[in-house]
Amino acid sequence: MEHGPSGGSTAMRRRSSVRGGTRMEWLEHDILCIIFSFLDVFDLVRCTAVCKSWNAVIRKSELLQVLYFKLRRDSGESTSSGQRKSMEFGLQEVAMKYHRLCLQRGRIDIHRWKAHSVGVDQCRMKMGLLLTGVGDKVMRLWSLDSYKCEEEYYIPDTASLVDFDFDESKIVGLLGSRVGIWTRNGKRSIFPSREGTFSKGLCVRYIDPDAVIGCEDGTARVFDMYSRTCSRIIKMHAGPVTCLALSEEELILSGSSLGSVSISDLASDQRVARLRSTDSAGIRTLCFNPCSHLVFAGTAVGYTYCWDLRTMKSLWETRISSNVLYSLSHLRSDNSTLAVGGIDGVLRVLNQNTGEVLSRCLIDDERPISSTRNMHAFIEKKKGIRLPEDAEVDRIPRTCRPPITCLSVGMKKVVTAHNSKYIRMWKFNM
Amino acid sequence: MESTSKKVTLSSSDGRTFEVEEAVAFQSQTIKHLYETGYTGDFIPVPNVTGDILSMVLRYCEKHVDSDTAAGKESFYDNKLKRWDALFVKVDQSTLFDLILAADFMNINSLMDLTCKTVANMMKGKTTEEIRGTFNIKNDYTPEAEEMVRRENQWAFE
Repeated sequence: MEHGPSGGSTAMRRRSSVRGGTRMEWLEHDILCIIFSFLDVFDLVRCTAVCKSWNAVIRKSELLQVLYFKLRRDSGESTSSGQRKSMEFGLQEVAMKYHRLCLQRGRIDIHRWKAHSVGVDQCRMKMGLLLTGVGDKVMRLWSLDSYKCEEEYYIPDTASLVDFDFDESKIVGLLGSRVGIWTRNGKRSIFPSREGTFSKGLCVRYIDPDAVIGCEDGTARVFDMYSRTCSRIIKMHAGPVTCLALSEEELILSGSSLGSVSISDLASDQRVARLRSTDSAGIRTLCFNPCSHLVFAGTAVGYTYCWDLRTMKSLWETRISSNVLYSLSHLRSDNSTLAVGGIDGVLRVLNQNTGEVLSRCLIDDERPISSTRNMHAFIEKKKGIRLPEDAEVDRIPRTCRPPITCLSVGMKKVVTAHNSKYIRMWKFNM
Repeated sequence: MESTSKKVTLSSSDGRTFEVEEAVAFQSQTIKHLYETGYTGDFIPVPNVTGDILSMVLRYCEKHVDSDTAAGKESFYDNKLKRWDALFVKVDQSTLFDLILAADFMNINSLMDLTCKTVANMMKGKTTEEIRGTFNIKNDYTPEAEEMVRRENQWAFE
């Protein structure tokens, strides 16, 4: 890591205005360093974004380097071996390792709050924000720490929302037979396509400027969000396209209810490969990890599959449940763990590379709950527990495992939707 | 033990004086060093620390001298002392920062650790926005600059 030129002033002493007592800003560099030395790497990195002077103090100190080596040691990696990588790259790597450890072994706190007035079954989490919807007439965007609803996006009365995704500037939703776009932080919503543009859409994913819609007739319709035209229709399957994933190399991955995954090139419309599941049950959920080029799929009878997109070969398959899997997800830059949820309500953590089930988590319904009301929401807090390896899921009461219709993974946390009014946040900590 | 020990007098920035046993005052490395280098004055000025804060600091020092001599490192006393410490730092933010500045100036390591750790705990698990709110810190980043910092370590914000 670079050190700035010596003597760079981070003077924080502003004793002149003695109003409201002593303030944080009056603490000098050395004192701030002592305070920061009690933080873990996640808190410390977040502190760099608080203000410029904190960033300067943290960067000048060697605190991040120290934590980097500590994290490596805690994750069971020897610090002596291996070439010295740039710390910033390494920091992400060990942070991912820590994330994996927490998901696999950490204690679990579950926060539940009422997010909608009717049941919703989808959630997406990114950049510290959570978007929930499908089932309600509104999508809600939440801040993750305060559970405050930051923004609301309404769905026209005549339509119902089927699927959605979002980014910094917009939300793209599939309204049955057309696409809707809502601008973030604004009041504008655009419905660029006419009613009936697609036969019947079941799922949507997008990479600007293309939105790809998986349809009931087995096609993927590529819709240009700016020219507002359906630019291509790609025949994917004989049966309905139930789920989609897009790669940065412009490949469309689609799962079908007939039990295979078809991969086509977005630019050429050519089919690149077809990946077959061995149980031939419908593919219900797909996700693609751009870092490792692995594709993961979950089926209607509880199988999970993994293929390597570079070789188009199956890497592993395993049956983790006797019932439908609705959702699988991983942290964007994590190559190690995959969270899987389905109708049996157990939150499973899998090894991305082997398919081994690392942990099975559910809600501890025995222990007393605590509830808090912050400014924005009434939050019910429970503990999570891990099922022993030999425990049978069917014997566990349903109250401990409401069906998971969708999940989304963040750093040391997983958000779940249950086709109910409530959304749950699972926090994993060592 | 009171009868045998020597007393010293400290004087705060606002002119209040405090008489304490030498062992108590010597928890402060600054004061200890002053005596060891031959200081002979009637009282020791502590110019940066107000009477209110100094009395708190001395209360802390007394407690820790007592525990040091009475119990050594036995866990029962250790736990009791930890509980006492936890109550001791249940003060408003401004007082907490004053204690930090006093501990820094008087060079009392254990008090420095205790107070700084308390502040650190107020940051743990919070978003940057919440940290700013907690300590009333102004965000001096431009939106673009903040975005850059966040992007650099995207994983910590997910």
